[in-house]
Amino acid sequence: MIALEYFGILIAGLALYWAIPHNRLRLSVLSALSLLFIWLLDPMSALVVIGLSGYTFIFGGIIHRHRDKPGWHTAAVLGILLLLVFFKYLGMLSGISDAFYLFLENLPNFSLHRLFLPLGISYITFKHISYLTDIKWGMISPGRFDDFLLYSSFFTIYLAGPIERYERFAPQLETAAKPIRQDWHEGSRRIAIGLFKKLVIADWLAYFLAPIWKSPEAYSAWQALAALFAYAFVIYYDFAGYSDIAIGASRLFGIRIMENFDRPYLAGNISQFWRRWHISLSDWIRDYLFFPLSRLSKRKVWNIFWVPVIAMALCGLWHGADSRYLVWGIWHGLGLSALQIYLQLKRKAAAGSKKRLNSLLKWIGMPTTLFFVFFGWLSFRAFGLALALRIFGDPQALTLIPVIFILLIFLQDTLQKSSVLLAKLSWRLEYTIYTLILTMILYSAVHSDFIYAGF
Amino acid sequence: MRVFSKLVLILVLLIALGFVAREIRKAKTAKLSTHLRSDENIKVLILGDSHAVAGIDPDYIPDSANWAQVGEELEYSYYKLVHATRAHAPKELILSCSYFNFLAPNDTEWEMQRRYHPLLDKEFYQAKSAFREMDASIRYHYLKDILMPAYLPIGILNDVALLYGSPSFIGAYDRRRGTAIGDIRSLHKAVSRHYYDGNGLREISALRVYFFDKIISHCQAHDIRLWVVNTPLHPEYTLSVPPQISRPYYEIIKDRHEHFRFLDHSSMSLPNEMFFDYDHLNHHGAQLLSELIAADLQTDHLLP
Repeated sequence: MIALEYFGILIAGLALYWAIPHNRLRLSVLSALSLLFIWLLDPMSALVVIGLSGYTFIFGGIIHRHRDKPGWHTAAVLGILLLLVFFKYLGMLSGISDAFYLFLENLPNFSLHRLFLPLGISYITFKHISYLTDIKWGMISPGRFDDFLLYSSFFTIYLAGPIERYERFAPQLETAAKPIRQDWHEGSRRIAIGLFKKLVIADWLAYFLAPIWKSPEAYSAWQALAALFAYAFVIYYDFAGYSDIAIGASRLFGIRIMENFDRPYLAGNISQFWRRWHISLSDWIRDYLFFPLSRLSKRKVWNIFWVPVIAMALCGLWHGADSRYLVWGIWHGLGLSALQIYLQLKRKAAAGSKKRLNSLLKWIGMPTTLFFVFFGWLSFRAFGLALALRIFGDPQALTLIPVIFILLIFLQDTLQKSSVLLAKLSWRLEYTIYTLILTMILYSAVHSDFIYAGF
Repeated sequence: MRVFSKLVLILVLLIALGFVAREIRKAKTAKLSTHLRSDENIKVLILGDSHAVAGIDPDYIPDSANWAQVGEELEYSYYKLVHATRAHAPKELILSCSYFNFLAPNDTEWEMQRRYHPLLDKEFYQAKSAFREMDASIRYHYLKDILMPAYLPIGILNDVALLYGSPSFIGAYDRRRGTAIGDIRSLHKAVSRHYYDGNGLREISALRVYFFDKIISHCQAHDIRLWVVNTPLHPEYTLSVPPQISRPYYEIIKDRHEHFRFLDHSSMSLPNEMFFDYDHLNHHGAQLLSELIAADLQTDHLLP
């Protein structure tokens, strides 16, 4: 995304957008620029956005008129899901087709991988499903098509979210006024911080880690462990950096986009982690998957075990048609399920007799969650199994794990306080300029693609 | 104000660090360029990647020099050829070109830029941009070339990082001993690295085909006879080459093969003891292949 297309459209877009006095015309220009951005990256994707937006908007109107007939909503959502499966997940079959091909040489040379994968397909389908479902639930009305097209294609958040809701997005378009000084200040601050997080922190960390992830057997176990921990920060700074840029760029147009991160690695339990990590996706999973699945049965085993596991497995698969994402999702589902069981047991237990235990769990909550999430990344990242074998196959690393765990217990309070202080730090405009200068001087030229733009 | 002065101090230190790093790199590059100007009489130049590094022993080919380098891609071989032609006027070029050499880059650009940046020209960057293969590390070097005269301290930490590792663009024959045949993991690793990336099969790179054509044109213009060699591969490796890759490879070769001699030894039946691993020869295999190539050079006979 850090490409000439993005910042070129951003600069040209801002100049045009705020030069036009008429609000509706201004929004139309923004839609056109957003579609131009997508077209520049991949012309076919722009057509998919327009076509899919037309499809969803028409069904939105029908669902709004026939809210008593849930079949329309089911049919519309199924259509969107079919599109997602067609473009994104048919590739899973390519391995089978390749194997088949070896035996039947006379089959046409055809690869399902190259069917065509529209850019941002995962994000746009989720946005459209939320739009249709919110109409069904009576939370929103279909609105205007041009607003919906802008919602679907808004270039600042198109490639990798946040997965904004129409409910929050559309009202801002109606009232969009000239940006106040606060918008410029906040927008540029977020962009500068985002660029620094991505280009300096995430990319340099990734540069030093890449050889260890690729050939963990060539490194010591503690280096492999360090690589795992550092990767957790690479993915965080990469995605949080992207989100900062997307939120900041939107703010320059006077549009406020939901936050995507809130100090996730300081979460006290796995449920809290998901309220702080990729917030827009986890909110989506909660509202449109977790809750509807919970309503299917009142059986405890269904709600405590199967619902989190299924929801998170699907969340994992959303990242890509690969078993490693599925395993990562199930890992988190099991974590959420274990937390549910623990909370149930806690409720049942008498408060007084368990006070000491509760206090102990409070202390180990953050380090446990951190380790749980970090080990989950082993499955998320390619070569994770080799790295896991390197770490767990060596007693040296295994003795290091409890040491880090105990250190984290003692450090967690300081980390929490520092993060709060950092968040409260007053930010002057000149700091934005300093951050941009530092980013230009220190940036890494090795890795540039955003990890989440690939999903 | 205190923040500002601290920042200025950090800036000055960083710029100094970047300046020192760049000067060290310049000195290293200057040393390297003497290779190109050596007095060696090179009539037969060997270029290519690790297949040529491990598989073609110049001791068996008279007046030859093996300048192949591990991981070297066609576009970089082209620039080496251009510089070698200026310094030595070779009469024959032996270029190793395997099934994956026409495929799009796979996370190697930083290393390639580290090595070959001193040889490249503006056309290289323009071609990378035109074929949409301009990644961040290539863009950085291009920017640096433009900004160097003004000495704007952009991305100076990259210069520090570039100091690590060997920047040598001139390679040499590597006499490899022993064999790893039987270690099936090494086969899987090689096939995965050569033919797949995160999105599945790697695609044919139009840029690499473009530079392959430029190598052909350069050889024609300078009266250099070009020999394209697909070096021997272990049968298990050959079976693992996806047909979606080998088919276009042969089409590219076929479309141009009147301009060069194509020595396809990929399916040559060799005992395991001649392979270093599943796609590289060891010194026994290299001796055999080099003798075959030498015989071909002598007789100008095209192998079937």
